[in-house]
Parts: sequence; C-alpha cells; structure tokens
Amino acid sequence: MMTGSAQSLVEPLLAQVSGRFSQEELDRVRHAYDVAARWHEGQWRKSGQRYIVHPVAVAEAAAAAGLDCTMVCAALLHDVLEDTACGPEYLRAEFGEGITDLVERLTAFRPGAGAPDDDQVIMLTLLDRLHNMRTIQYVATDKQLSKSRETLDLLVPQAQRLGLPLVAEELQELARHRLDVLAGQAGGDMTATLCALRLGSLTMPAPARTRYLEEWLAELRTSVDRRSCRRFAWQLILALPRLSFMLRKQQWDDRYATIVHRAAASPPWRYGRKALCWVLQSQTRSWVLLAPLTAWIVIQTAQGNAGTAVVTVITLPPVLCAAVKWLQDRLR
Amino acid sequence: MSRKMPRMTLQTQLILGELLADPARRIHGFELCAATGLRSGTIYPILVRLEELGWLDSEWEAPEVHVPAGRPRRRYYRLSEDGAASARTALRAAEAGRLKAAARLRTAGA
Repeated sequence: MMTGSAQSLVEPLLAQVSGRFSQEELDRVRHAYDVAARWHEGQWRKSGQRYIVHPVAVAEAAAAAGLDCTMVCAALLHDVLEDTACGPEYLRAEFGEGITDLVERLTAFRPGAGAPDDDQVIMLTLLDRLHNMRTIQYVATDKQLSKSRETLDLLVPQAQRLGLPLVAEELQELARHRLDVLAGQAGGDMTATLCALRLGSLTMPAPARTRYLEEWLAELRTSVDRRSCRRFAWQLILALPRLSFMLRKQQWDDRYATIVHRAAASPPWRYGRKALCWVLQSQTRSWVLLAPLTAWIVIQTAQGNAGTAVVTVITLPPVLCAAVKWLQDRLR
Repeated sequence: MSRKMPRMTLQTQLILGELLADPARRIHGFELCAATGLRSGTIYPILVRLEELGWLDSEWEAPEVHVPAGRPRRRYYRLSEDGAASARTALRAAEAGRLKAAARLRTAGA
C-alpha cells in the first residue's frame, strides 16, 4: 500500500512530461524517483508530509518550466547527497556523470557565494526555494527570517536575470508576506510592553527619563531572546515607582539642598535659630512667650461661646507642650 | 559625599562583587542581570544609587562600535577608582559582619 501511494506521487510528473520526453527519458525519471524515494524513506518535512513530496514538487516545477530530462532528474535527486547517506559514487553508477555532477554542484551551491553564473544550478535552486517558501510557516522563526531575507536579496534578482518573471514574482510575494507576518508578530508581542514602559517612565524626572529609556530600549532591541526581553521590561516597569521616587529625591536634593544650606547659614536665620534654641531650652522661657498667646486665644473664644473657651483651655496647652517638645528635639 | 554608603544589601553586594571581579570591564544592564541572576527591577535602583554616590561611572557606547553592529547604543557601567576602593572595603566589612554573626551563633549554640 505504501508503495502504491508512493508510486502514485510520480505519475502526475510522468504524465506532465510524457509528450516531451522519450520512453528512455521517462524511465530515467521514474528510476530517479525510485532512488530518491528509497533514500528519503523515513524522512519527514517540517509540514508533516513525507520528505519525497518536496523533490517531486521541485521536479514538477522544473518540468513545467520546460527543462530537460537531466534537470528534472537532478531536481528529484537534489537533496539525496546532502540529507541522506547516499554517496556520489552510487549516483554516478546509476545515472552517469551529467546528473551526478549537477546534483553535486547543487549540493555545494550557496546563494551569494560561489559560481554565480552556473545557470542550471541557480535555476534548480530557485525552484527548490520556491517550494520551500510555500511551506515556510512550518520552519523555526529565525530560519523563516533568514530564508526570506536571502530570497529577497539574492534569489529574486537571479530569477529576474534568468528571465523567470513568474518565479521572481511569487518568490518576492512569499518572502515579503513572511517578513510582514514576522514583523507583525514581533511588533505585536512587544508593543504593549514597550508602551507600558514608556507610560510608566512618565513619572521619572525628564532628563533621567530620556537617558534611561534610551538605555533600556537599546537593551531590549539588542537582546535576541524575546522571553527574557519581556521579563526584563516588566520587572523594570514594576520597579519604576521606586526608581522615580529615588531620582526625584536626588533631583530635589541637588536643586534645593544648597539653597536650604545657604539660607540656614545666613545671619538672620542663624541668629533667629540661636534665639529660638535659647527660648526653647527652658520651659519657663517658652511659657512666658506662649502664656499670653494662649490667654488671648481663650479670651477671644470666650467672647463667642463660653463652652468652646473651656474646651480650648483643656486642649490647647497639651498641644503646645507637645509642639515645644517636638521643636526641642529637632533643634538640639 | 564620598563618605556616604549605599545600603549593603545582599543584592548590592552581589552587584559590587560582579563589578569587582574585573574592575576594568565595562558591563551593560542586561549583562549584569544575566551575570548576577538578579531582576532588572532590582539592579537599576542599585545602579542609580551607586552612580549617585560616585562609585560607578557610566558612558554611552562609542558610535564606532554600535553603528557598524547595526544596533542602538548601549550604556556601559564600570566602577570608578574611588568606587572600587570603597566597594572593596564595604564588601570586606560586610563579610566580617557575617563571620562575626556566624561565630556568635556558634557560641550561642554551644
């Protein structure tokens, strides 16, 4: 049953090229498929499909582009050397020099490096990438990013150079779309956090806010790991009230400490303070000053309401006593 | 002013220890978080305090470094000369306090 469904995979490809290829070439394509399917047996795509689905899709694209039998066979075998234990000697024995050599060049090829004018290899690389980009959502995020960038920067220009506008257009669209999706995810994930950080930082004094926000945003942008980024940001946000208080106090100290200090050293305040200390040193001197004041307040209240005057007589002296004591402690 | 001391909490001691491990090294906030295992919300108030006391110097990364690297500039921290000396003294004092407390516990236990 396995073989049955596996065989059916190659039939559409054979049907596609049956009018163009000779019987011998058709047999070779079928043989290339058999070899590739055997070596990729047990391997799976990230999408969950059997691996052989990918070489067949690339070969179908090659056939659709009107490429010859060697190219279609090489497309079927293009990952055998790189991803399986199959060696070039085996391929050479089965398929001869032309196909093996092409597969070897294809395996060694990296976009942006080496043989930039090997059109056969570039053509197959483009078709390979086209199928990979169609299923890129199953790959890890960082690989999605690097592959999409590479596609836009290196492969789309090659497709245009080789006169494959449809391939170029589709590659460009797939890569752009993927980058947009990734940017959306990244932005969406961190935007709320960054907004909260900016909002929270409004409580900080302005110069410090500018500096620390720049510092923190730089830390967040240069760090790769998104989860530790978010943790870093939220812990900061929770600490912002304390931080703002510290910075404001520091700013206040810087600005006013000198003024208060100078004022305290100036003659009127110094003598005033000395006099106050002298008065407060003894209870008698304090009450000589406070008794007339108390009496005046009591008399004023008694003119309005005798009851209130009694309450004042009872409550005012203890309050004044406490105030004197408080001042004595401060000025000592 | 230099007489003033930060509160020598365990977190402050951790940070000072990390900075003292190589006083010439410049370190940025995220790196310090990773190195000490402390939260960013713990580290920054301590950095602010230490910088205010003059124990720490901080500076922006030079454009020759961050521009080719294609990232925004980082702020780097390093112990000032006085700061390194004060930090060493403070850490030693904290360590002595710990030892004394441990000794007292031992005698109390015995």
